This record gives sequence, C-alpha cells and structure tokens, in this order.
Amino acid sequence: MNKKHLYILCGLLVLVGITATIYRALVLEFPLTPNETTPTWRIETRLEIEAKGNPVRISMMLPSSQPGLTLYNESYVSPGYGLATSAPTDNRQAIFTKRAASGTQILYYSAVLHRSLTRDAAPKVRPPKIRPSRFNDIQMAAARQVIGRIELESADTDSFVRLLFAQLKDPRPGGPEQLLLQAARTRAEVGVKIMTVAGMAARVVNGIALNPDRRRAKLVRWVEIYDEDSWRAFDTDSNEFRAPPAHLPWWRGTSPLTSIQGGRLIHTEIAVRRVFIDSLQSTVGKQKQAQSKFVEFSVFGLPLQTQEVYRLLLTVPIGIFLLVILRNVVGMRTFGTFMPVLIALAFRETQLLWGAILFTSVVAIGLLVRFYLEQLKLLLVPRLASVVIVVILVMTVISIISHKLGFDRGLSVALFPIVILAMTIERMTVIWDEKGPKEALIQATGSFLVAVLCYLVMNLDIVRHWVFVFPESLLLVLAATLALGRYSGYRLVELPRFRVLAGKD
Amino acid sequence: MFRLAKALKRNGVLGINARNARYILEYNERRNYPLVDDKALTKQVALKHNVAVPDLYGMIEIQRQVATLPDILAGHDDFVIKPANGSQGEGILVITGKTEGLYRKVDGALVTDEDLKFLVTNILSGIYSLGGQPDKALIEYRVKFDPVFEDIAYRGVPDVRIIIFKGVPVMAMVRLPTRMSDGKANLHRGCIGAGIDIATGYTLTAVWKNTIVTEHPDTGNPVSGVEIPQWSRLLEIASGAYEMTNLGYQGIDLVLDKERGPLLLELNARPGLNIQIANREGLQARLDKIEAYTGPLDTIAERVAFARGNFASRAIS
Repeated sequence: MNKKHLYILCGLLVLVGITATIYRALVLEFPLTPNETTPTWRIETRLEIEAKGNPVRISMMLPSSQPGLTLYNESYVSPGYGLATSAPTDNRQAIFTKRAASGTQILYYSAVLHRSLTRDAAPKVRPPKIRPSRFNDIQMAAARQVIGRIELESADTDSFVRLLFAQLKDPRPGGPEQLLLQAARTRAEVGVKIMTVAGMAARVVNGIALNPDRRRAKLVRWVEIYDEDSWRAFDTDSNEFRAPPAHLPWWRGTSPLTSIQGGRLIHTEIAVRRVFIDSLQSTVGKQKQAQSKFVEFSVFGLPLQTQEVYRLLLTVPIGIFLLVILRNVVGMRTFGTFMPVLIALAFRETQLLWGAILFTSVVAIGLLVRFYLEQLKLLLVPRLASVVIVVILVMTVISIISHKLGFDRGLSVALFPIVILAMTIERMTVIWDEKGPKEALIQATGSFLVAVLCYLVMNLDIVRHWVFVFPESLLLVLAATLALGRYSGYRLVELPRFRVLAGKD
Repeated sequence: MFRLAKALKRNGVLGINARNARYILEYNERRNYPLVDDKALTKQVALKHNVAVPDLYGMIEIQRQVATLPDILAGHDDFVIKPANGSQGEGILVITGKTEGLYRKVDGALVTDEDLKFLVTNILSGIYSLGGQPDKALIEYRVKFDPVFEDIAYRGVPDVRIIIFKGVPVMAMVRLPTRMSDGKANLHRGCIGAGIDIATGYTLTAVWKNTIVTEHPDTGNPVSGVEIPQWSRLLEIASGAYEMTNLGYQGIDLVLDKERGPLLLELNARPGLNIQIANREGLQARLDKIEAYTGPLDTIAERVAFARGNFASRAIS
C-alpha cells in the first residue's frame, strides 16, 4: 500500500517533470545545452533625410513577430523626435515626428530576429475584402484577356497562380502581359492586380533575405494568396507555393517602406547581420516579448540578482541527491547529513584546489585549538563560541598573510561559511574523543570526498544550465530521491563487512 | 561485487537499508522511541512490568544540580554514570571503587570529583545524545557480572543482546569485552561477539574483528559452547519488552548480575546488524518466518516457544 502510493507519486512527478521539460525545450525552445546559439539576426535600418526647417513626419514600416519568427529587443535612435508605433493590425508602423527639423536627419531602427526551428501552420484568418484594381480600360481589357486564357488552361487556384506567374516571367513580345508589366514596378504587384480582377484575394509581401551578412539588404517581393482560410505564400522567382527560404516578411501591400512629409529621403539602408546570441538570452527575450506567462512565472521573471541566487540554490538538490546515493547506496560516512553539500557550495566560491587547502588548514588549526580548550573543561556553548571566534581570527590571518605573500586566492577563505567550519571542527573533536582518531579521520575524509564530488557534479556546465533553465527537471531528482527512500538493497560498504556471511559453495 | 551481493542475499543477510525500510520504518512507531532512547524512562517502564533493572542512585537534569554530585555518590563505592539518551555506549563511565577522595575507573586510573562533574556537564549539554539535544545524566548501580563470564571477559561487563521481532526472540549474542575494546562491550571497538543458539542458550563460535575465533584473545579460554545461565528467563524478559514499548523490531541489552540475576540494561530501536556476523547467519529467513506465521503469538510463553522451536542455529560454514 505504502509502496504503491510512493510509486504512483514518483510516477506522477516524473510525468510532470518530463512534460514540463519537453514543453519548455520544444515549444518555448529553451536551449538544451549551455552556450547553444540559435539562428538569430540583427536588423538595422538607417534613414537619412534632408529637412528644411518644417515640421517633419516620417513613417516607416516595421516588421512584426509571426509564426516561425520572433522579433525582440527593438530599439529606435531618433534624437529629438517624438515616436509612436501603431498597433500591429495590418502593417506595423513607426511614426517619427518633429516640430522643426533642418539639415540631415538620421534615424535608426534595430531589432533582433529569432527564427524558430519549428514550423507552425499559418494561422486561420477571415477572408479579406477584395478591393478593385486601379487599372485603366486598356489594362483592364488586357488583364481579362490574360485571365480568360489561363482559366482555360488551369484546373484550380494553384495551377492558375503558377501559369499566371510563368507567363509574367516570360512574356510574349507584344502580348497583353507585356502591356500589364509596364503598369507597375514589380511582377508581384502586377500578378496581385490581375488576380484581384479575377476575384481572388492576393497581396504583395515585401521582405528581406536573412543572409549571414548583408550591409545593404535589398527588398524582395513575393505574393500571398488567400486560400482556404489562410494566406499562402507564393515565391514568384521559383514559381513555387512557399515563402522564399530564409526571408523576413517585412510588410504587406504596395506602400513604400517609408513615407515622409516635410522632408526628402536621401538614403535608406537595411543591414542584416547574423549574431551569435546565447540562445538562452534570445529565448528569454523572445518569451518576454510574447508576454509568456511561463517566463513571467519562472526564474527568469525574477530580478537579475535574485536569479543569481537561484542559479546557485537550484544546484543544491543535485548535490543532495548525490549525497543520498553516496550515503545510502555506497555507505560513505560523513559529518552531519548535509554538511558536505554546504562545503561544496563554499568550494564554488573559492575554487576547488584553494578551497581544499584553505578548508583543511582552517579545520586543522581549529582542531588544535579545540583540543587545547578541552583541557579547560568549558561548557559546550561557550566552547563552541570560542572555536568560532578563533576560526574567524585564523581566517583573517590567512587572508592577510596570503595577500602579503601575493597569493590573492587566499583571500577567498573569507567566503567559507564560518558556522560550517566551526561545526565541522566541533563534530570532528567529539567523534575524535568518542570513537578515536581513526573514525574521526574516516568521517573527515568521507565528508571531504563527498564535498569534492558534489562540487564537481554541481559545477558541471550542463548541470548548472539544466537546473536553472529547466527547474522542472528537479522533479525527476525529487522522484529518484523519494524512490531511494525505499531502497532496501545492500550498501556497497556492507559487502566486505558481511563477507564472512557469503558462505562457500 | 554483484556476486558477493547475490551470495549475501541468498544467505538472507539483512543490510542497513533493508532493516530501516522494511522493519524499523514499518514496525517501529516514532512516538514510542523516547521509551527506548531515554534510559530513565526505560527503567520506569521496565519496573512497571516487573523487570529488574540496575538501581538508579540519582539523576542530574540541570547544570545547578551538578554541585550535588558528590552527595549522590557519597553512599556508593562503585557506580556508573551514563547519559540518559546516549547511543552506542558513548559517554558511559564506570567507577569501581574509591581511594582517598579519588575514584577508580575500570582500567585502574584515578579521577577526581572535578573530572566527574565535567563529564556530567558534557552529558547535560547533549554531546552524547542523538541530535545533540540537552540530556540528563544517570548515576546507577554497577553490575557485578556473573562468574560464568569471569574467564572470558576482560574487565568490562559482558552483555547479552537479543533482537526481537513482533515480540519473538529472533537472534542473540553475547558481547565479551577484550583488552582491545578497552573493557567496552562494543563490536566496533574490538570486543568479541559470540552468537547464542536461541534453542539451547549455548554460545556458538565467536567473531572478533571480522575473524572467527574459538577462544578469548586475552584469557585464552574457549568462548564457544559456554552455557548462558538463566537463558529461559532472559528470553522471557526480551520477549516481554514488546509489551513495554510496542516496538516491533528492537534490540534488548541484558546483563547477568552476580547477586540480582538478569537485569535489563537498555533497549534499542535500531539494533545493529553485526549480530548476524556473530551468529554467522542472516536475519532475513527468521524474520520472514515470523511474518508468515499465522498462529497465535500473543503471550510471552507462545513467542518464546516459537523462537526455541524454529530458530536453532544453522551457521553458515
């Protein structure tokens, strides 16, 4: 009954832990290993405007987050300008305004773009209204002619679109397509107009290629066609139903990137740069951008300093779990139950080698003092207090001497929790008195070895990363610890102890 | 290594984890622990159940009372000072006599009033108690052991440890102090542990420091085949401890006093596993047998009869 209860509990913990970890890893895309970098680009737009002392109003299209692409860390450099961004309904826009500006004005916009590896399906949207094309009569007649011919040759929307753009790409000289191509700047625009005449909802997409490094990125256009509840991208270059690979859709429609009142645009420059941001940082930024409750109610929602505390604290369960194994499965003897884990925490601050040297020397000196105090027959609490005082003095002296000798590492002795040192000394003397120096040294060595092991495991990059980024995985540690609570096998050290009882066969 | 573990398992050797998980956690309720951990309470309960214990000369509970120690000791030439909540024989001092205001320890060394007061102070501050809780110091009758042990014990008092499970004596041994163990009856310290055949009360071969011995290393006398006097009475006292404490799995430490017969020394809610080495037999099979038995085991007589009938020695060769 009890055991079943325990197994169910452990099973539940494992289930919740694994589910939450998988969710965080696959859906929220937190990196599985430390220092993993994810595809990330920094986009910078530089506008150069000539103003003549009049009020200036500059609007610029902004990219927005969408399935598969997340935008964060947006920043604007626009000295002296008022800034407003419109809500991302259709196209997001930044509007810079200034009462009076003269001379060359330079405005910057930059953002970090994170491309996720999962491909989400395009969201379902309601059918858009079809606005009539602005063709003149001749163009309209030409468009009808093109449509009529293609409709005869095509079976459905897909083949219609394909045929249309194939013909626009390679127009017959003197044909209606050539006439239409003169009516607009790009093939995409012409195609969209023709499709509108044919009663299809379509729009132009303006975007840039996400190349590793492009000082001057060129705008690329492709088409989106509304088909069965969602917009489907169509690449007019390859004549395929897909968005051009590795492109950022910036804005939609035929409007230009910028429109300026009260000034003249001299120059626009879009730069794309691949950056290697630690993917943890980019994921957290991305999730914060998306207002994810999962981030808000997680360690990353805490102030940075508190986060640092948890970075440390969350490794403690790993150390404790290791201690449980070493004590209950291996059977090592240590001072106190969790003292080795606390010593391991202290090693983290001092580095292992110096931590070990300083720890042993302070404990050794403290031990000598404790043996001396033994002769004075003091009461327990004053005796313990005296040991603490001496420990602090010894630490101070070690710091001063090592500093004078130029070993600045010796200063880190101050990072040892004094209480832990004093308790170690006290426990060691009691065991020394009671069970003899051998037992005391066995336990001291045991504690020390366990502390070093705990330190090594707790300090593995991957361990530190996992407990901090996936704290849910500690539920698995909890489940394993609980399960070990009913472990009834032999301890490793019992095997030689009971060797006599193994019998002969 | 796995082969060794397998062999131990086949021989029914009980490990610490199994003892804790399957027996102590299952059969010993925590609220009953004070009865065995606090030796003053153990004494009271034992007396209530008509089990003889070493007389309590006095008890010191607070630091102020330490000054009264010489008064308590005035009427007694020999005595034992021990912490009420001590474990594994720690903090116990045996005084065998007085000379010119000084006290003589078992090993002949002399100590002063001040030394004794310091020991009591340490006991009160809790350094010998489990978890470092403030403790009490007991001053009690010093056991003069039965002459049967004279040839096979070095200075200290040999005691008989019986483990009972659900009130049934499961396994027993006698611990014989040696020079190495400093007169203390503690197997870690090098005292001899000799298994006792539950059925007959005769000692089996003995274990000393993980090796099998047949004679006492200090006196040279045989330690196996010795009859433990009043064995039936010892089994009855042990079995009755179940009613005293309600602990399903416990160890009972008894001594045989020259004048007063069997005395209950202390109870232990987490008895050690070395008794298996002393008996050269695992506990598991015996415990399983008791768990599987469906007949009545309500009275002491039934339980002792069951033990004597079922647990004759079958030492592993």
